[in-house]
Amino acid sequence: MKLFRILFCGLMILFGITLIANQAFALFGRPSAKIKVTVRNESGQPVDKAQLRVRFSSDDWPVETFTDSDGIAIIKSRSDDGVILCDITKEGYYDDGFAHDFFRIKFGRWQPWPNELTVTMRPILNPVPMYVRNTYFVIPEVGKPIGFDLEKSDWVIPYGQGVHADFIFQIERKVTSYTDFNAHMVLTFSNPHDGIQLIKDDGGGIFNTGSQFRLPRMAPLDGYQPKLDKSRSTSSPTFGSHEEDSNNYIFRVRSEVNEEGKLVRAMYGKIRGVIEFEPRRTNTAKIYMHYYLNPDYTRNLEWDPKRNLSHPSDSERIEEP
Amino acid sequence: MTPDYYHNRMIDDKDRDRAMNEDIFYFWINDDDDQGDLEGSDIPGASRPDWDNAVVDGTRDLEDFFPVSLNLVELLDIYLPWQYHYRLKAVGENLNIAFTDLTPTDSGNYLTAEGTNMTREIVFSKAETVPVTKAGIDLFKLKKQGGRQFMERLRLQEQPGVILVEGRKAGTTPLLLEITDVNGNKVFSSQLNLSLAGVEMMFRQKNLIQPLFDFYQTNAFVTPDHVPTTALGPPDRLKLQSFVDAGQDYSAHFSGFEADNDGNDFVFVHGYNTNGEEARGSQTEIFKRMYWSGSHARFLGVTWYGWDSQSSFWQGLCAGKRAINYHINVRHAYYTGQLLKQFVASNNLSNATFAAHSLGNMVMASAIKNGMNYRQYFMTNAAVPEEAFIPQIAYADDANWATNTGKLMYHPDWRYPNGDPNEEGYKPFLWATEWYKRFDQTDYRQSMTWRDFFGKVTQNQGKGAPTYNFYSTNDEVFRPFTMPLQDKPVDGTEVNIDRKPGLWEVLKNISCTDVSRVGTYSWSLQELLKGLGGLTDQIDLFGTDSRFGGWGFNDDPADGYYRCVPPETVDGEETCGRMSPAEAQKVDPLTLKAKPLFSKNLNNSFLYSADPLPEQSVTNAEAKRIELLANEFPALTYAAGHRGVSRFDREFNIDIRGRYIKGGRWPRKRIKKEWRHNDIYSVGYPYLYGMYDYWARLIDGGNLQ
Repeated sequence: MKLFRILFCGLMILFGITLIANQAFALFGRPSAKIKVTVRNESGQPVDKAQLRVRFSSDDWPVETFTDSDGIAIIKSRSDDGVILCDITKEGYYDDGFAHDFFRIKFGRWQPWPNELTVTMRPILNPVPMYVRNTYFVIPEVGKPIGFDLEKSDWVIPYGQGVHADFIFQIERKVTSYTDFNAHMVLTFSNPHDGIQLIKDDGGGIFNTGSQFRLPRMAPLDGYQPKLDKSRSTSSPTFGSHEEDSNNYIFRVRSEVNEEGKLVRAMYGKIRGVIEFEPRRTNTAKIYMHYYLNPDYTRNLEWDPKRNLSHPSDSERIEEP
Repeated sequence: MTPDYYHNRMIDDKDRDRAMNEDIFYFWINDDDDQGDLEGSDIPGASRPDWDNAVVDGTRDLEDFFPVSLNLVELLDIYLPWQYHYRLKAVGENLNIAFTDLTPTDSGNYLTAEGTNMTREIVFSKAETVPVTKAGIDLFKLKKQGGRQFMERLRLQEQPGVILVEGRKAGTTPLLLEITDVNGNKVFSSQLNLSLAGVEMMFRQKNLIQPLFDFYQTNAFVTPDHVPTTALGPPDRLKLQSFVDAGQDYSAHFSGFEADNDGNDFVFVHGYNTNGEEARGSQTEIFKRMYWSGSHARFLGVTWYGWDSQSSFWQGLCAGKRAINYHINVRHAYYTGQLLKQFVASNNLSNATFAAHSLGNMVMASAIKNGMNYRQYFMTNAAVPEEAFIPQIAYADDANWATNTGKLMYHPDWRYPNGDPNEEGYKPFLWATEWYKRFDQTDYRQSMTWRDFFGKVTQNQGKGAPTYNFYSTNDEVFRPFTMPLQDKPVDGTEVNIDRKPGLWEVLKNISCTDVSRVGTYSWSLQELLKGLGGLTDQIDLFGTDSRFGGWGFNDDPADGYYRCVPPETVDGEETCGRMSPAEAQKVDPLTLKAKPLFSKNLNNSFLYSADPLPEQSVTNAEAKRIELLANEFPALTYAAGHRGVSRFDREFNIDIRGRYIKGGRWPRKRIKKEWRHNDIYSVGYPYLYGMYDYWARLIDGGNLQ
């Protein structure tokens, strides 16, 4: 009985201390957050020794740790705002990371405690040189199809130095003023089997979370559309709306066929974000593209950022593989 | 000795010509309190100024140093440094120096080193500094501080070296270089003519706080809640005789510096929650950054009253300081815009470039709406609804209304009345945001919307007065609520938690020291709480002016949306309730003119009528409109500073993070390249110089290299 009393009293004291501590947390406004992060590769295998740098509070230094042999890291720290941001790095993998917002506090702890998150890191497998640009090109004329050479980053002769009409753009426009215009862009291609298809990826949202290497490693064999239409006008229902963040494209150009008309080989590439065109403040239109063209006639879409065959200026800020 | 007279981050022949000509170099004293990459205070006159220690105070402090090249190559061959004394002297004892391995052509690299690892800036940002005395410091003897290595390097590299210099106190005494032999005989001397003063003695400043109070006195339709008695900000510095600091006349310093102007004018307007003292810090910081980005435009800072209700308070054991009442400051911003327009017109600034931060963009947009002329305008982290720049046609019922608004800006009470995302909510035509559509163009109430309110800014885009919108999607102030409904707490003790998933939790967790939290989501908060008491009411600190309209329900039984079915109680349970979404959908839209579904402000009962309400019939129509927009009519779009303005073409919507920092350099403390609302001031210049370079180029019409 005496032992029971001692135990009971001890438990009550412990409970009291815990309660006070929890109240103190709430009082001081410095609650804690705990996360359990599991890092795996694309095959689902754990990634060990991946370094995590985690922001728990805006004014504190990030907490650093590594994953264990199961690819798991458990980290807790005080978090003023419940906004958790994490950079994950490991040699042989593309940089990765996540963002998580906590909203609820209970007993001085952000809920749930811990919050479990899983990250899939993408290994660096076969990055190859590509022609990569992230800029705009002013179409020389409106009302007629004009070819654009992705390798030369230029319009085809006689408008520029381009040789292959990889993309063929045609712009129609009627611009009365900055706030009153109608314009239409059509993208077509030179060869049978050439085309473009939409790929969804939001770029990781506002914090660009997820792998630095986005979109599929390999271009698909099928699903290419021979034409892409876009309109921008004050009479359009989308007037005033932002383009979808998640729209990207994979394309196929310079398709070659055998005698039976079957595809033998082609060049593949991708476009990060949308193809945008702007008919205002020019007599024709500006066409914005962030494109990657792989010239090796494989479907590989993994670019080596150290080997850009286009040599653009730094201002294009091309960074994603 | 040659400084970077043209502040283009390199010392070249043009600078050397000016040094040969003995031109005076004008710079500021380093009397703010920078720390590290992100911290400290930019307000001049700090109690512990940066000059008063023996180090560079982080990357934020680097802009407060100027490079001086020392061309000692030939001299070192003639006068060997171990046989002669190379002394730097400052008669006024008003300088500190730090040694570098820079050369004149890359003399600005302490601010902008190439590459992405910032190794050099980090080295410079922690460099030791040495006070230059009246008697002089012997460079070769400063082994510990790097002087000896500096001299040895000069002999080896056979090109001039560069020291960094900071001002300790104001004065016009020169920096001297003297070489003497062992007997003290002077064999060579050179001098750099300097003029140092507080940084505010280098640019103009217009304070619109008192004019705003005068305006209110004259018009008497609105008065500020809290008239500040302190921190009213500095007196105007517009005329030469106003460049006085602590009784000392610095007009010569100002006019000498400004003699180098290129004929352009640059006007900067600070943001919300920035009191008069803090405004000084904001302006000086932007001035310095533009200086180092090579701008030679005449700089003018505008101080305005955007901190009404800012107050220190206590909660638990912690204290904080915030301007809680955003809505009243929106109104101050709007009227300040009218005053700015007058000031610009009467001071020959109609061809100036303007930049504004945060709610300062409300000041600017108001000035433009009211007819201000300008050459170009840089919006930065603009706390103005995006829809204010978009024509109303984009929100017509038959247009793609949903894609032109932000779904996370729809209040869950109206969108998901019972917390079920699959449930039919109250149709948008019932919302306060769409009420204006019930009225024709001649009706005053047709203007009860933010949509196209500042459309003139967009129209001017096509008329040679462009607006560049510098935005950041992860600016914490503009972040949308992303809390999924399934994360909604089920704890029955949480007040109103079922009605406001996400909102209440955020509010409940605000602590007075948690500046980051009250900042985070504040755009969404201010719009989603319109009609619900506003942020001020929710955290019960101040009174509120946002109790009506917005997302509050019209619970007046007389209007028929809140009904009690007799008997009024069954077993003590109330049977009264709001009209369901399905029932409300059948309401005749014309009925909404007099009986809106949102809560009515009976102080403005003239609004709720089926009869026409011409603008001219409303007393103080414009003032009332601003009050209502600020307090009672929410925006359904995010701030222009969140994702840009879709109607601007791409060249004018600039994602700061994507353009300048996404994959590049950023303080190590900031994971995922996090951008915070005040980073245009607080992140060290070396991380963000690209943006200011672009500003400077635009001001200069693209000529600046």
